[in-house]
Amino acid sequence: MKRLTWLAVFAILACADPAHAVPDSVYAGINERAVQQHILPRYGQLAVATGKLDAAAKTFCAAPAVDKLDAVRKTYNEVEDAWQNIQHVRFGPAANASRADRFAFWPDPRNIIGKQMAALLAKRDAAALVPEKFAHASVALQGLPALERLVFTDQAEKLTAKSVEAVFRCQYLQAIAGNLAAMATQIDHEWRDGASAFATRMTQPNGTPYRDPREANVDLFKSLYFAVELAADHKLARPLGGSAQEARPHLAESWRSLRSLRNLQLNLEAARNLYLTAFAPAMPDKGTAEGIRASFDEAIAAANEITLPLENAVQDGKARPAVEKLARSIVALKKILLHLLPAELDIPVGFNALDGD
Amino acid sequence: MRSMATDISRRAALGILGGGLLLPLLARASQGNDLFLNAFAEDIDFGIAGFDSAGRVHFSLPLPQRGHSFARRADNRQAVAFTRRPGSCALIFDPRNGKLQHRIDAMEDRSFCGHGTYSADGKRLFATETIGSTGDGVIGVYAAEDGFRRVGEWPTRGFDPHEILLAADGRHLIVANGGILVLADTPRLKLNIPDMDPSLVYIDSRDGRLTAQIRPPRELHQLSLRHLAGDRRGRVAIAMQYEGPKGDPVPLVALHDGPQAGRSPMRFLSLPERKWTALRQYCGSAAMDREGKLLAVTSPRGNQVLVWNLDDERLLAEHMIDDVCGVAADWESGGFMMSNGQGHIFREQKRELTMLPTENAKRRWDNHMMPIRV
Repeated sequence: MKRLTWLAVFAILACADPAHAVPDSVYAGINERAVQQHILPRYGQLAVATGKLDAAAKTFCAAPAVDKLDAVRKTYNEVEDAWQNIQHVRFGPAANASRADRFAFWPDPRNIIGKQMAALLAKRDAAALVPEKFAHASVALQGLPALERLVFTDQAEKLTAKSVEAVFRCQYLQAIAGNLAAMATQIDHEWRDGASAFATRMTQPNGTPYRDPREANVDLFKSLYFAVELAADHKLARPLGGSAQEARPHLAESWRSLRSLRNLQLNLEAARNLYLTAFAPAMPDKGTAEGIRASFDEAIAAANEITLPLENAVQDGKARPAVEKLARSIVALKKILLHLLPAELDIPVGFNALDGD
Repeated sequence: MRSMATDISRRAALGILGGGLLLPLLARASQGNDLFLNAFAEDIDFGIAGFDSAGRVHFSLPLPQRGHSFARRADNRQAVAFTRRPGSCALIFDPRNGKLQHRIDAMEDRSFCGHGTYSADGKRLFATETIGSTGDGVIGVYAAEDGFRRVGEWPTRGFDPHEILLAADGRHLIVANGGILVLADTPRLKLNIPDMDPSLVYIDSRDGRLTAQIRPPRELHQLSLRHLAGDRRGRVAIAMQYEGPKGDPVPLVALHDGPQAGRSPMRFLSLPERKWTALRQYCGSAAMDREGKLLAVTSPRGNQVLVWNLDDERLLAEHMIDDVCGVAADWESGGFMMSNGQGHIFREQKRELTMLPTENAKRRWDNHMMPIRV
């Protein structure tokens, strides 16, 4: 299987002709399509979803009850969906004020979230939850993973107990939801609005931060690659381990809400969408364009073949081979993207410049 | 799965290095001139090469993973090639002809960060390393005359130590702590960008004691201190990479007056904002000329090389080279040699740039270059 995939890569490599000059209008076209058809709608959707979560948290906390938790969980899932659809675009407005890290601090191998949440909940200092203050709190306390811990698993019961702690937990839940909504609105606004909108700076580069369409294009390629790299090397590799016995399900991204596989599926679909919408139409060699598309399709199909939640599948002798197949196909996709796309479109992803050192 | 893959690649590498291929791949008669060491990638293979000031490759040596930088013993008879972080090994070789002498494998739960330096007497080798389970930086201390036995380690007082230099006093080690938390479990993923804590440290090379630690100003805490060059007045130039928002117009090169200056603050070179911005928040390498007077800093993202006269701190030259990173003093001409990721080598003399004939355009030159007097 692995060997076949690599033969395919080399066959495609042999056909690729990296030595053609690509006019600026081609990059401008990719950038325009990426911004208008991929980035703006997706960040727009994140703002809408977080607005609903904010409202749902307020409604829930007005009269906390176990049977009303599902409404909060539902809106949490909608926000998580919207985030997974665009989490790969981290330059520009999402990088300002560390927003991407504040929105979803992950991975957290040192369990900083757990430690800091425990300290916050023990102290019960309501002043720390005032929006202006909370936005400057530790990034680990602010994001979706913290919210997930409040509303899933047996922790959720502590929201509805008639106690001082329950009241504080609900205040904290509202602080996170409000802060997420504020951040998503700010990101959406900075992408879209006004003379200095990042969309304009990306599609009509004037020097800051991009000197020409080709340079702006590098950030889009890096986002595309990042989506696949994060999925392959971290979201899947961390829980997978070397064998069913060595699997580490609690290292999956969203094991508490049991949606780690859905995150991966959305990430891969988002990357494929960015590729097909923005990059593929600009590819001079249709064979190469098809090869990359086929590799995306293969990875997404592999993800859809997994029948159990990822957290269970990695430990299950019968389900695990499908996860391993997914791991192989995402790694292959990652290599194909890096080896073929920059060469085909002459994207200046420098050997020395791609990854800091 | 991961450990098995590592075992296989290590074994394969040992096989290559120990089994008859000890001789350099491409031996050539020595010209009696200076050589320059540079790591490279060629298709899916990695190695290091020594070329002369005409760009002619004299030898190549394979590496089991991507290489990074070098340490040179003062007598120019021994050098060390470090693999890129997280680096699994370092190769000791004769830099005049590429003959392999020894190999150091990273200790359990430690990886090389790609840089190292010898003590003044050549008896010890110091390498920046990271503890995989905690991200803490250490200096690995190796006995160069005792089979490169690891004889100790000293904390660098920060995450992500990168370049290490021996100070002009011959006693202090200068380390750039990049300040970024990276753990072995999540390779190359940066885990603490919002609260990075980079610093420059001076460490006594006799006992590892900290002499001074200098941090950039608080508002610039997302400047990762990475590369270093020492001038003739004992000062240290620090070249940085910014991890904050794109477009922030941050300065990227600073000077510190050396270990004797203690905790006095670092001072950024002054440059118009648009020139800093053109470097795209990213410096890849730094080198002093043979006099210790001119400083060259490369930016592979800005596709630029800037040359300063450090006597008056004025910018002397700006060169445009795509994906340029490697830079080293050209002792013969008093200028610099440079290399890039597209396989080209350049010679800079009296601020004039020449591209040398390219022997092998498939060979992409990696981050750093080191001059060797043959």
